[in-house]
Amino acid sequence: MIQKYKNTIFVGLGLISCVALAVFYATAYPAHLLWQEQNQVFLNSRDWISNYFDKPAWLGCLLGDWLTQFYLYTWVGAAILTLAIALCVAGLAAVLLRLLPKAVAWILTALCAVLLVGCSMPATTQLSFFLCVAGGIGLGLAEFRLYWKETVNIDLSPLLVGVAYWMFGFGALLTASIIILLAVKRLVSKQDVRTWWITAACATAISMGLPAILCKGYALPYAKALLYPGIAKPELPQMKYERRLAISDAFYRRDYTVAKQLVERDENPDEISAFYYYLSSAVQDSLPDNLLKYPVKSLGTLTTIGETTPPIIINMMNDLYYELGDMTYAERAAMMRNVFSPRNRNVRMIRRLAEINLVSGDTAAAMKYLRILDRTYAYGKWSQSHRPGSMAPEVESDILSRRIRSNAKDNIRLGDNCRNIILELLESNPGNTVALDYLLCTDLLLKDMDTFKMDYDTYCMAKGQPRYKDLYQQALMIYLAGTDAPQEEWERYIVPGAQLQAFRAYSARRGDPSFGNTYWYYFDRYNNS
Amino acid sequence: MYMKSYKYLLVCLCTVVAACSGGRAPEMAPSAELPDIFPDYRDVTIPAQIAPMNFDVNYPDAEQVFVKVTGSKEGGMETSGKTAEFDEKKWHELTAQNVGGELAFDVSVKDKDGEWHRYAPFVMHVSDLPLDDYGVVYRKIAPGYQTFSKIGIYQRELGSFEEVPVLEETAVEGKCMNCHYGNRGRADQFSIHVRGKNGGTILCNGDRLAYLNTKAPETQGNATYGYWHPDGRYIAYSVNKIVQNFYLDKEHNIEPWDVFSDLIVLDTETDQLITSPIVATPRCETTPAFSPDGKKIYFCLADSVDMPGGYERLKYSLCSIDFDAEAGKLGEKIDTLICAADIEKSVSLPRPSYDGRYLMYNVTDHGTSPIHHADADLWIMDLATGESRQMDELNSGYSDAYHNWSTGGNGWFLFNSKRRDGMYGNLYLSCVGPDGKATKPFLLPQRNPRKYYDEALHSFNAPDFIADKISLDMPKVRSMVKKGELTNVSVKK
Repeated sequence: MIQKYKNTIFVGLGLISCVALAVFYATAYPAHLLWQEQNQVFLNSRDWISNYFDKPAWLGCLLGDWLTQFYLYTWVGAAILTLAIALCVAGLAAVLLRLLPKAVAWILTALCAVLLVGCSMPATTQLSFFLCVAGGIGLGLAEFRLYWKETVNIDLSPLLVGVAYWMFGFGALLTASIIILLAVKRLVSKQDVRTWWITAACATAISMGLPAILCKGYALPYAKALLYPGIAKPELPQMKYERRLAISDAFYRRDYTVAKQLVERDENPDEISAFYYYLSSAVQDSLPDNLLKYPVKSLGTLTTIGETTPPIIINMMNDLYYELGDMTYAERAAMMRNVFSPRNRNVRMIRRLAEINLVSGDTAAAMKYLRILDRTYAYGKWSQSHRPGSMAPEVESDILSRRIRSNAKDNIRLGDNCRNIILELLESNPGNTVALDYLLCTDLLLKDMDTFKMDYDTYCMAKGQPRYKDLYQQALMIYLAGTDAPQEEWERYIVPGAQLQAFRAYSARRGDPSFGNTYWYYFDRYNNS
Repeated sequence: MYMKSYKYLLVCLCTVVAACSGGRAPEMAPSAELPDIFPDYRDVTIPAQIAPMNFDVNYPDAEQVFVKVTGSKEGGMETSGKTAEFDEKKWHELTAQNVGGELAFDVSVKDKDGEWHRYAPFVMHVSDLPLDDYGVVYRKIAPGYQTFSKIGIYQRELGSFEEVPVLEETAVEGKCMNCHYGNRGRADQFSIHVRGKNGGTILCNGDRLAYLNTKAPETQGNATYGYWHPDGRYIAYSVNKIVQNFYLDKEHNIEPWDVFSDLIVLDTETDQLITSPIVATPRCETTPAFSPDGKKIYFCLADSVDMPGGYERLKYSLCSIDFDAEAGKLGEKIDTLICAADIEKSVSLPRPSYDGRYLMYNVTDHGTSPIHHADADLWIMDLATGESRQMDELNSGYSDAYHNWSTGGNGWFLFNSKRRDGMYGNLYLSCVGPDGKATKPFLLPQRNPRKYYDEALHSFNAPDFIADKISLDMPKVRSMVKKGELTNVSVKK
């Protein structure tokens, strides 16, 4: 019975696996898909497409990048990636079934399938990898012979290796391997004992020699030319990274509540997740209310961008400075992120650059980026809604509110110290509460009470805008108590009520964990070095 | 039934082909209005050797463009389509036929309603001064940020749209490539700095390909801005430690400045550095350039100020110092050609024309990096009279900088300008005629200029002409860079 329906069972299992994989990508791994979509840009123009011919694997890369733009739609992306992997697996099965006993072939196919799925797990694996594998295998299976009457029967399949290299880069190595294995099989089965070695030798020579010949023209080192566009390494699912990406994306979409909820689902959020939690809180005017939720060393204000900074950190810096209102540094981070993206373009950052220039009032530069977005499949409407002069009302109001928060000074910055940047922003606009909270909360994380008091006096008291947040009240009580401040000072800073009573209670029981959510407890207990 | 389907298919295909291929505009009287085109090629002067000056019209509802070009001497051509794109071979025939004459462009535009509008013809002047260089070389980088160049150095043929890499980041992975400095555009004499781990200076001088560590124990740092001596033996460099500070506002953005900068001359035959205490002072000496006869080095010199706070007081003068190529020796005194204190401005990037007639340079309010200053303008000095003037005929309200002359000495020059969007530096060409005036500059032509310039996310950094196509022994370069096989230089005693 099983023998009879064996093929149906295998096909059925394959289909079920595909559906399961697609469901996994769509439900458990959507941020990875979106990251890939954001980490490139595909323009519908002849000039752009012609760039793909400057390097090998033009078809694999072109098709891969074109399809990747549809990763924006989670289920479509999941289906595309699953199909690409399925195509590779089907090709491999076809090869192995021609070479090996069925049982061995199916087992090997299953193992390869697992490896290929593993290759899709890192965020760095591009779709072009799978398309090059599938293309290479496909061409390896295509027999190409020249028959003439009955006297000539030449195996021209090795020529397909050249075609494979041109269209699928490293896929040519798979094409060559398949051609060689099939030739060996013909030898073993005594179908072709005379010329098999010519086929094998030609396939080997073309697969190794062609990249050597073309690498200069492609401006690639030999090893890179041979393996272009790059070999992915299998990894286990990176669920922690998936969460980080999801949080970063929710923040970028301005779903601040969602971003915070995603962080809250994690028992021990890492620094990146906590960074976005606090930045979301700051945007929602609740950073002081949430500051002590997750222990961090800084709010991201100590991070700088260098040559080896990971892409997600550059995204963080871009988001931080954009929200603080420093368009110069936000732009710098966006430029750097573009530089470190495939083909030096990142659609998230191109949108951000357009926004930055709109906030800065630099219409000509903003239009540069908006025109690029006009040529994409998914962001044309976004671009139209951001056009100076015909902006959507909600876009215009967002841009204007950011313009008010941004820097209005025109002198040079003496360093890239974030504290200085925040001070400059507050000098331009004391009402920039995101910057104000970042300044005060950074002081508190560092337990630098003198600086906190000085900043609070300068940007809250002196401006006649005391910021009555529990956190700041608690910190001020520590300062006032520590300096034996006179009663009038207490009356000036502290609002009588529950906080003051709680402080008296805590003073009698210092270090009591029941005060674990207060700054007093943090001040006494945490060593933030 | 099937025949009928095929017929429909044929009709559809013909319609598609007809729609794509465009058609001639009907005969009608032109209006008095000139067409609004991108790039603005109206009334520009072009060399006969230049690639087709394709353009697009700036009318949002334009569906089709028809252009009839008529030579003032002889010949003509037509093109029709979404944009004006000229056949390369016919274009070159036409420009060759009309050297010293004009090309009249009769532009008609069909709008979405199918209505044609014919505009008043505009002209391009075909200069009788040839531009014989093979092409231009430039570095593509994200604008404004001097670090992390991940793209590369490219060469572009002037007579066509072919652009090929000289050295790409993919070839020397993870390395930052700095500007290409050639000797009067020679394809076999140039240097390129590579920064990062195993960084050094790739030196190509005829058959010699070397990788040099240009920092000697006695000098402060590595060679930075360079300029070749005309005989090809020496390269004058400045040794700069550059840092950058950011402005608070977007208008200015970045201020790169030198912590220190001195002048050195590299003898490429002996790998020795020629130094002199007169150009290695606490003051800042930078951006050297040999005079065409090789007897003088022009450079910029500023008194040190407290930086970055004193950035507005950092003003460079234009100076020169003698150089004896026979003895391999720098002169004893510095001549000041333009004193920063007198003009209350800062001079940078002196570039003499190879025929020795002019010296072009930049003037900004302050500082040493004109590409980061919107007020950067080009100035020209007549070396025979010493008189300077601002080149108002080509300067824009944005940065105009990184200029250099064509190698043929016919007055053609290129420069980088941010006039399109204030952000990305593009490459413009112009010509100083016998009257000393520059012609209206034109943007480097592209096959589809709007798409090209709209889609580009790079500036054309440090452009220069090249007389021939550069061919770099890439495997050797890669091996040298990868292994860090650096040849040390020493200071000549």
